[in-house]
Amino acid sequence: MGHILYCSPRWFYGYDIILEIVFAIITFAVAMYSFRIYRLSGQRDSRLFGFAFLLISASYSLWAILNGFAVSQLESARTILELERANIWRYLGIYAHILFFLGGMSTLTYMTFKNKNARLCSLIFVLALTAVILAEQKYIATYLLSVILLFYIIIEYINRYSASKNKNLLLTLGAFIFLFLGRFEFIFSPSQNIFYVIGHILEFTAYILILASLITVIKQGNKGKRFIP
Amino acid sequence: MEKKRNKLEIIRDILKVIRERNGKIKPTHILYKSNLSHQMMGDYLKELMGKGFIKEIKVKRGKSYIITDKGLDYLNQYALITNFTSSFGLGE
Repeated sequence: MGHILYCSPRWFYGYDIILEIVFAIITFAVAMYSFRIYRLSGQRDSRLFGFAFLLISASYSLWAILNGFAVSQLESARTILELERANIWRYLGIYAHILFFLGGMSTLTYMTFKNKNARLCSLIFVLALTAVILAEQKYIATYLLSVILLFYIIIEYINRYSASKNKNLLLTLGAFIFLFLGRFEFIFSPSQNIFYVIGHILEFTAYILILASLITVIKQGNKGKRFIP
Repeated sequence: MEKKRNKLEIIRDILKVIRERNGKIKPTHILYKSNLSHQMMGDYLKELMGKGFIKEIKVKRGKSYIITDKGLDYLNQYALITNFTSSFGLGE
């Protein structure tokens, strides 16, 4: 597992943390807005979507905080013991990210099945988590699982877009495709750390698309408020 | 042929009918105006009461339904709700 520490090129230290904070803020905004829609409509899907994005936001927040702490410890480390301590923070960050991100992805995948039995959601999550725990290369296993879950989410969003032809939904679909590609790039980052950078850039594109979709919704919603149906 | 209404639209239509009747209406009027079967209307009314959008009140001859502040909020923010759910592919 030691190679995890070197997935990021040295020049990218700090930039990755900034990007993770941006991802955390955008996903948190989506989560809060989903909960607002849930309060207004009582729609179960909005609550689940909010919950999924809250988990994803937590995954990036924890990753950024613990990653940042580990990097600062690494910079000042003078002994092997200090290096190992920094390593522990880095691992904690990655494990927290794995746990919460898979939780978010499992919830989104569960939503695509349109099944109201919550046990299905827990089954997807437990299976994914078990696969990561048992995997020798947990880092690669996590990203591979994310790619698989995102594949199912994308298929569902393609079907939804084909049915509705909604432009904003196309942005959301595009976001999931970029997230899929980003996660796919991360799989190769332990062997070539440039993929870590590409993965972050692709994820950044994904979250910008989600943000654009959210801003459009808010703008259209404010316009619609003037005309009570 | 008219497009089949989705759940959010049906809820909007029921709440609109109640609001247009000064916020109070008998179930027969809802049935007539909302274009739903008796069974479906019953299910929707139960759901709307569960969500706190409407309240059932006893009147001399049976019962009536009144729209709550939460129900009015739903109507006022309907554009926002539908834009959000359609943009992010949500729907029960």
